[in-house]
Amino acid sequence: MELATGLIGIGAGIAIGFAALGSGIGQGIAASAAAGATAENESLLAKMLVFAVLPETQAIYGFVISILLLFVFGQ
Amino acid sequence: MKTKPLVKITLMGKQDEKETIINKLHHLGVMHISEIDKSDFLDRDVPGQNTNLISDQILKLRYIAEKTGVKINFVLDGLPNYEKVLKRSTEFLNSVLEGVKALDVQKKEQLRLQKKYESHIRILSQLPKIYVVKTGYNQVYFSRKLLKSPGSVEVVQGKNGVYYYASGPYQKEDEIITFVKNNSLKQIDLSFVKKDSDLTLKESTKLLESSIEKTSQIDSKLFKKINGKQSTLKWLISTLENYYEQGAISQRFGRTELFFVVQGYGDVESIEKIKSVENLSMTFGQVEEAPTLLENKGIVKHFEHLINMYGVPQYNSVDPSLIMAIFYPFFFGFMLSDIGYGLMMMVVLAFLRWHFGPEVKPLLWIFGLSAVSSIIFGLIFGGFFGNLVHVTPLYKDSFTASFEILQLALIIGLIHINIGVLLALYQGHLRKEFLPALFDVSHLYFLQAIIMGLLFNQPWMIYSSLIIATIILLLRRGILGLTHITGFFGIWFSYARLLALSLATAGVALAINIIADKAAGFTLIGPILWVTILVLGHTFNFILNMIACVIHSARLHYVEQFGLFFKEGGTAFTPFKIKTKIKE
Repeated sequence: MELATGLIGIGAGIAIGFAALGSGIGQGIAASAAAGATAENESLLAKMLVFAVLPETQAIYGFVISILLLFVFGQ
Repeated sequence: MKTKPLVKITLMGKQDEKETIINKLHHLGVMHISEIDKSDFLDRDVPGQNTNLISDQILKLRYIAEKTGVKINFVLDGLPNYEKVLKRSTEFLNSVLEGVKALDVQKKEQLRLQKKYESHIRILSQLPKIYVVKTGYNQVYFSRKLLKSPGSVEVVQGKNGVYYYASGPYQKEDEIITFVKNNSLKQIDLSFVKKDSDLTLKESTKLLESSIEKTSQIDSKLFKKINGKQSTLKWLISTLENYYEQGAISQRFGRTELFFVVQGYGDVESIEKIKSVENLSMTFGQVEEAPTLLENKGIVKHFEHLINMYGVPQYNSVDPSLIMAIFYPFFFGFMLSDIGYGLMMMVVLAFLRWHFGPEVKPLLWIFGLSAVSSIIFGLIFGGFFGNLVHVTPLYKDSFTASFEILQLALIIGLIHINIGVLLALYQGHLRKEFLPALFDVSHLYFLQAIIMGLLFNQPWMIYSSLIIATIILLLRRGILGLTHITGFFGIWFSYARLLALSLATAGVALAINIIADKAAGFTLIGPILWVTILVLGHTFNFILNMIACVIHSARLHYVEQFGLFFKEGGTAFTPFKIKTKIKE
């Protein structure tokens, strides 16, 4: 395996790893607040679910970058 | 694709015919009755004269239902004569209520005693055996020697830790309690112990058993009181609640000395029906604001639940139920994309249908279609519990064609966003604000032109589109509007989750299959382990990804698409009609 291929693999891992870490922390904060709001008013469930999963988008960005690294630069 | 047009209806009738007219409107069930507009000529009307009596009877009947364990699930086939219902209700209450009340008092006393005995048993079963000696001087001592407290403290090892027995004559009780508090000890009341704790424990256990037996006898008596009359009770509650609604609705009316006035909303068809009510004059006209009535039919109707979960759309705005009915199952299937999990969903839905009956019909349609979609995408990507069963993909599997599927997901995203843009324009047309609506979304076309420029390597297209989009955003939304440029790309990339979740489902399934195959190598227990890991693992993966797909399919609509056009904050159209299905 070439050095460049290995570095691309590491880069892809870092991209998704850190994005997922940040997203997880953010989701934890948002979801706990959303759970509190839903406990007070059940009709907010759908909106709170959305708020809870909003920070997941950052992980998706990391995922897109790692896919691009692997399949565009890694080929 | 839009909320149903409604007209504002104003009705006027004579006060002495009010009850008959309300009854007829209730039977028609076509009008949403709103609060009367404020006027100098009208006073606010009062509830019907029997409303308090009906409310009192409902409370008593519900009390009987609660105490006798009758669940009010009832289907009413019509609203009978009011006097007849009230007479039957009074007779019913006369024959049952006092008996139920007396038994309820007895039951409450038994439950109180049970709590007491349970508490004694709990305390005594944790402590070592103790003896209490009562002397002729009304003093209480424990049998052992007293130590250094105003009375005495003894340390003993109990089942749940160390216990200190503080004891002494009654005259020193306050001092002993202060001593216990000063030493940060928790006080346990042992005043119920007679002579020997073991004996008291046995007695308490016996008393508890006897009380439970008595409670069970009371329950049987309560059941006998109501046995054979459950249907009457349900019928009375269901009927009287409808009559209560008839009595209470007049609080929304306006009144003069001789007349009453009702305001509300209905569709064009409802006008002819209301005209059939005698002695009622009616005027109606078009309005800009009214309650929201969605008018979808068939399968699409069930997807209204997903819209209402997010918010009721405003009157005269876009109803996205059809878009939801198409794209929700599509996204769900794309993300789950496994034939095995799709079949599992079908089994779960069949169980729900069998267990809950037709009430779960909307759920069955929404997730039934999603299950079919999962099976179809499973065939396209070749997933059947991951790679457990070999299926040749109609396209390519998610792992080898990740980049192609990512491109596909992003194209689907653009289509979904553009449908949102078209709906925003349609909304502008409905509200006679087409040009502002066009100006609001036009930057999105230039931002998409940047993508085309990147795709076909046309720098002029990229830069000119970026400049135009920036100018539009600055003019329309000011400097902060520039965040919409990155915002658009954020929304667009968000559709990459279609691939991400598809890969997650397939990846976890693959890992489960690998672990199961490794475990199968063990002699004797190998096959058992193989089956256990597969069943538990795939059930876990199924549940986990089901939840993810439910949420993310909804999210792609709520966040990515509804943000472009959806105007929530409407009031749902709730017709004044007889409630035939009563369910708790």
